[in-house]
Amino acid sequence: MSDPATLQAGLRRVRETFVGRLPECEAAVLELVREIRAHGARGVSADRARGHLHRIAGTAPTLGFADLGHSARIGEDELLRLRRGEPVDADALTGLLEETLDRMRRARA
Amino acid sequence: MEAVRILAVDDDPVALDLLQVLVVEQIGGHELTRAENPVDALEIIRTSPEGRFDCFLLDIDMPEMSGIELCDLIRSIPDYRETPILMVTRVGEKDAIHEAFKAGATDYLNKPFELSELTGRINILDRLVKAARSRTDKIFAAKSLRKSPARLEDHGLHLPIPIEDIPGVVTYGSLENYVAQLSRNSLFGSTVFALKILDVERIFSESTPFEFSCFVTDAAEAISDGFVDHGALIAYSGNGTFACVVDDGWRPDPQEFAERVNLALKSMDLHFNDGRPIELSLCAGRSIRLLSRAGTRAIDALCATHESVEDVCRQIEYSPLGACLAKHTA
Repeated sequence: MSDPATLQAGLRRVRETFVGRLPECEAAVLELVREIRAHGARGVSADRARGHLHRIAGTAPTLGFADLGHSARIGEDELLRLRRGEPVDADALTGLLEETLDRMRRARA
Repeated sequence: MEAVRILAVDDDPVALDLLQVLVVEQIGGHELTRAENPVDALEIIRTSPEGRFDCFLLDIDMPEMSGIELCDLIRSIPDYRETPILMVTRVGEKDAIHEAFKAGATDYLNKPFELSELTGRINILDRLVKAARSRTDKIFAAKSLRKSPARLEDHGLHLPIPIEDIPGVVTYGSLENYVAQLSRNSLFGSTVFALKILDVERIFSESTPFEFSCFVTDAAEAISDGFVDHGALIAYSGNGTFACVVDDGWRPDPQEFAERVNLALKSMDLHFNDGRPIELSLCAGRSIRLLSRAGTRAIDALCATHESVEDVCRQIEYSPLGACLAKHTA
């Protein structure tokens, strides 16, 4: 076991990488939000955005972004429902995705 | 101890970076090789020396090929049939976890990682690796002394026999991990029960190691067939006993299930190598629902099913029916 300072230094390093990748995730989620607004949720291709949200949900909490991780997890769940063909409220979904986008921006600030 | 060599596969490089920090730098004693997709992982395995990796950490949710499919492919490589495989998945993915164990996973880790949980799982993993290395050393030592290879009787009746290529059959260690994790994640509603081969001590004493291994495998096959329409995991825990976990909501009547398995075994028309027929028969203990059984209590439930089947088995073996059975199969 290394000391807590070494652990924190390691996590800081990973956190920088994580934050550095957020713009790409933001772009994918933003594109999805625009597509849903333009054409509705049904039939929309959400796999790219879902992949990003899945990855954020899997690592953000360990890196100190618990809220972002939680929000991404809920977003991922909704997109999974969409993929399974279950009814999803488009307005609620875009609202949720925008909240996640907002948290991504705050994480980068 | 020599560093534990891990191959970690995840399509998220940040998750791999985290494993590097938490497992290699923080916990220590591990060497991490990374792959960002299953195809690269298989190439790394193919081009590495045989048995290069002591264990695998596989993310389940990856595009193109899932970690479950990769687990299945790794298990088909002779060098890695028994190597610990930890699946990494998001909390609450019950179906994926079940499929992963069926594909040969040893245990699983939840994402997001928590250092305490990760340390606990990695410690278990290290013990498995240490045990595997010790077994390998003994085999090499035996070979160098030109002794005969390890025989079943060296291991005894009470130790598990590896059973391969039967749907739903996993190692007992994997089943314990599965049950423990189910309770940890509040994925309740599973039912556990055990089945035992009647008169197993006599059958063991009259069989060659190979014959006994075949009988156990035949019994496992009959049990697996009995679960054909249900998601179930089965493990042989030694001493003729099989533990079963059913988690699709179906709650079988163990006695009826045993009768069905016994009919299937009868139709297999089993024989010893010298041509003597053997009528393999199983009995079942009571079933226990894992509902609201948290933590180690789920493992206790698994133990209770073993005690229950032992009781039932003793009652049958000491009854006139049991005496008749022994006479019939002798």
